[in-house]
Amino acid sequence: MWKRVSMEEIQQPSYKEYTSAVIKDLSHDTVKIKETKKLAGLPTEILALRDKAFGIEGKFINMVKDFYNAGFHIEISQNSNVEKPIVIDYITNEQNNTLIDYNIIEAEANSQVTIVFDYNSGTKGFHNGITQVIAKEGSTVNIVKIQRLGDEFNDFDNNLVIVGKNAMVNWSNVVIGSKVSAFDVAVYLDEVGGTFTSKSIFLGVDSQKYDMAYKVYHQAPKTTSSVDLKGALKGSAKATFIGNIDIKKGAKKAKAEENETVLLLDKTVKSVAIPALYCGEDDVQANHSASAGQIDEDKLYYVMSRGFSLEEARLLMVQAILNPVIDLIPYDPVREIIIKGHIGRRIIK
Amino acid sequence: MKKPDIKEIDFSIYDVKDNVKYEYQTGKGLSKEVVLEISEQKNEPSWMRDFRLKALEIYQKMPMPTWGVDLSQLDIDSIIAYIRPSAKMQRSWDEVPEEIRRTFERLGIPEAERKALAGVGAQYDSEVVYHNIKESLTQQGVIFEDMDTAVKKYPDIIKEYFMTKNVTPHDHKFAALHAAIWSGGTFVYVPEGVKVEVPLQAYFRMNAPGSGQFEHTLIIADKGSEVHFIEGCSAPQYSVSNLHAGCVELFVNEGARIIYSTIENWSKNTYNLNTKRAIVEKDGIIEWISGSFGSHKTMLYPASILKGEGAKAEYTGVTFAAKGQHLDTGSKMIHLAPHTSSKVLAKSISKDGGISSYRGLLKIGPNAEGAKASVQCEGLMLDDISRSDTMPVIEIENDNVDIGHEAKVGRISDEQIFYLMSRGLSEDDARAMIVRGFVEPIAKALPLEYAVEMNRLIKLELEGAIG
Amino acid sequence: MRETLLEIKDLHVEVEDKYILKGLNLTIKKGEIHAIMGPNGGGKSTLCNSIMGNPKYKVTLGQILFEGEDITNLKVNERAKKGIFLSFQYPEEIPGITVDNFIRTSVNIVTGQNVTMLQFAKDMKNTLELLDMKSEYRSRYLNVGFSGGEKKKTEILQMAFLKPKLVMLDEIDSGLDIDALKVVAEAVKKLKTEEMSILIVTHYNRILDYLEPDAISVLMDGKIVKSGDRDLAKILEEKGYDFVRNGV
Ligand SMILES: Nc1ncnc2c1ncn2[C@@H]1O[C@H](COP(=O)(O)OP(=O)(O)O)[C@@H](O)[C@H]1O
Ligand SMILES: [Mg+2]
Repeated sequence: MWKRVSMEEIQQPSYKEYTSAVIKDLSHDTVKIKETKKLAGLPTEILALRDKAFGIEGKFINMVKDFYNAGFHIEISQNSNVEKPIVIDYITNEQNNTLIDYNIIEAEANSQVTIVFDYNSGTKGFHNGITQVIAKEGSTVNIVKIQRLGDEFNDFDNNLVIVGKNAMVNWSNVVIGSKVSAFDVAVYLDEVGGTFTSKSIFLGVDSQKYDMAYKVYHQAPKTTSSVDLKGALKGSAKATFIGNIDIKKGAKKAKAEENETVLLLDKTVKSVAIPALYCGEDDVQANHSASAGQIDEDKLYYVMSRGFSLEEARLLMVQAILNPVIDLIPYDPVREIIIKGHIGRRIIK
Repeated sequence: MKKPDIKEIDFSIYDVKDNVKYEYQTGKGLSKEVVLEISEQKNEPSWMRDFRLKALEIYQKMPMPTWGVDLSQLDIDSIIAYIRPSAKMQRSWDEVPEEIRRTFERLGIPEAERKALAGVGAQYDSEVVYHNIKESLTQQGVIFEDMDTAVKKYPDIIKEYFMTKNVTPHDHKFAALHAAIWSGGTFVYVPEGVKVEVPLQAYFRMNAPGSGQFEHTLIIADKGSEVHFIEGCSAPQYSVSNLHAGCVELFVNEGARIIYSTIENWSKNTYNLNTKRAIVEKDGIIEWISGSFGSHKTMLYPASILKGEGAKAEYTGVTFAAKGQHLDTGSKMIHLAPHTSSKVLAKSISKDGGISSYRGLLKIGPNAEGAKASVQCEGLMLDDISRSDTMPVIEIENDNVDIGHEAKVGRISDEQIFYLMSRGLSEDDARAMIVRGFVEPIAKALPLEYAVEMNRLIKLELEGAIG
Repeated sequence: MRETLLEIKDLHVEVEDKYILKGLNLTIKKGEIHAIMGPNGGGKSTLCNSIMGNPKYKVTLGQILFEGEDITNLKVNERAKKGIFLSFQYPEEIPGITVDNFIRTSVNIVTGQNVTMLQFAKDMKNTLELLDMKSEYRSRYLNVGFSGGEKKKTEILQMAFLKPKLVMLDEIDSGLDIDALKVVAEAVKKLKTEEMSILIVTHYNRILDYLEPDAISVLMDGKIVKSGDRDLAKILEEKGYDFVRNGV
């Protein structure tokens, strides 16, 4: 019933090199990092995922597979606990304005890792990427994806997450940049006891257009998922949220939860939510909810009675929704200040 | 309100096949000739004939829907479009042919009419065989007429309203099909300020195997008026498919209120592809109450267009999908004016491999300042071979709104069963009680007789006595 | 000597693969009020559930005899019909089914006869008064949105109608304020007949002051470790369960 952003709607870039990615050298011997460009071929485990559907649209996937010009293959060895987050800084600028990244994360059994992708700066450009995460038995993988690209960017992000037995993947999207931004996260809970959680936020202003999708497939018993998306829209911004929970027959004792909350700050915004719930198993707990509305007037009044102006009070209420997720992001405080400042400016503007 | 206990009754009443003589029927399938024949048989004015022919052209050009239920087994060319029993429309049950009268007596229609209804229409296959209304309502100017008669008696109104500004043949393939070969149904007009205290009812019965029923219901509730319309449907089980593609068009004028209730129990080989829509003006209220139990496959999404300021809509529905059934139901709430509000409560039960789906659209347009809407979906799974899917779409184009959507799916908990059994109930009774409680919000919205009827159907479905 | 109503012999029970009751013995006489006390997680609710016949609680060894008959393998609703009643520690919510409808259905099943509307309405009025409950509860959905105290009162309301031989009150006093506790305790006392036996699980002396139990047993680590008369409860309150644990 609903059409997502399609390749035809945006201007296709011509192929260009991209060389400005920065990844913090960890000199940690349990982590192997290689540029995907330099791999002889894709790892067999990734090739084995061929029939797992994912991505915004086939064309975006094919484009990355054929033309990627950046990306990392990160392997975390068995039983290792990588304490410091690995930060991949995808900086864009006038020369490096076409980023097509292919990232592969393989977390071996019982390993733990946090990886932050920061797509930033630039003013005008194009990003389309694939990130594939394989979390093997008992591993914990935390992924944070920050999209704060310049206002004239078109941004596309295709993600595939495979969660192994008793493994856990915690996901977070922070979406505040680009003119058009679409992402799709497909999560396969293929084995017993796998868990996926997502806590994500977005802020759309002016004429920003967002298209966000989470599709969680429960295919094994005792799998758990929780998807939480909160955001605010201002100006003539438009956001589409697709949240699919798909519980296959046999996924006994699966638990699935999905939530979307949108604050609508102007009359001219548009918000679409499609929170679907497919259920082929009876022994489950599944629910979803979506809500949308303005900032609660009683709360505004309360805050203003403490001296805040209307604008300040509104900002505070938006921050109240977004900050809990930003505060969770495990990386350097400077970035946190930059992001919060960015949000503040966008709302006050 | 007290409810009588559900008596043990003979559930086979729905399944009795009558040996009725048919006076006329078209051949199988659909063509210009068939459409012309129907129109001629009905001795219709030419504008209606031309309307039908135009709709047929639209039908032939339109693609089958690619979403919803699987329609690949539906062979429209083998459906008999029009089949007329040898019975004239009557205003007294005594004059209805015995075979047909008995069917409606078994279904309790004449009795209900005496006890609790202000007017009754009874359609048997393609034609209305009985139509009557209480004298007092006629005196107040209420029109309650079978649709074929209305076309001739009130041509100006029908020409203006019939599939022109509400549902149109362009909406989808089955709306076009309906427009081309519609037959029977009811026309209701309630004048300004008149409140029809007791419900009006139409009962639709398909008897002939392999036939289709395409009745048209048009209700106009003028300013400040009120009416409750009840629709009941059933058919006996045959091995060949039947098709039901009815159409309901409701006009709720300023300050008026229509309650439209349906208890649908088509046989388990019927394709039920029905279109229902209400246009609601300022401060008007539409309430849909819907119980879907029968049919092989259903696609039904009553739509409420909240066009005037302060208009309100409610949809309260239960869908029970058992073995071999795929029931795709839901609602569309379209808010186009300020301070409109809508509320959806959709419950579904899935059992023995049945698939029940909720498909909904909630749209808040840019002019719907201060709109309020809530949607609540609950799916109850009675075993692990069935399915329950929920597919809502929520589109908002305004900031001054208050929107909430909630959905959950689950099963009856072991703890609840144990609790009830500790009070003496058998496991089956405990389950039945929980299911009855689950659908209580819908039963409560129905008049007593129909709540009892619904509980009967639930009991029947739980026991798996049919299908 | 009074007749035995309930006899539990060497009862071993598992829940979700956890071994909880480990050879429990207990006898309750007709007309007796028997209090079971003991630390949290000791197995008191497990005992009640096992007597009621919750299928989650698997009896791996031992026997439950009710009026001399082995009911260990009897289904829960059959036990209810025999006159066993459990006031749940956490009563379930049943949406869509009113208190009135539910109790009437259950009475008809357990007693095997249809109570007349008139009689039912009369009994209902009296019992609601006894429990200091407003008559509007009759049309509310069973336990849905009830406070803890209202749920407990509704359990006693059901007990009044079912007239069981064995009443088990699992922490009926938790979640009740002082006034409500008094109402409930006095109602139970009033509803208790000569023949009726009560097994009451509690942590507090207050309710025992009202009900004056004939015997007190302490359940710990899956067994009855000590039995005594009313005074035992007072000693326990003073000295705690360590007093029993240390085997004084
Ligand atoms: N339904 C259940 N599922 C899992 N564990 C249970 C269940 N019921 C009781 N238990 C466990 O059994 C033990 C005894 O519990 P319970 O009988 O409720 O104790 P008490 O009522 O004495 O506080 C506890 O460890 C409790 O966690
Ligand atoms: Mg307990």
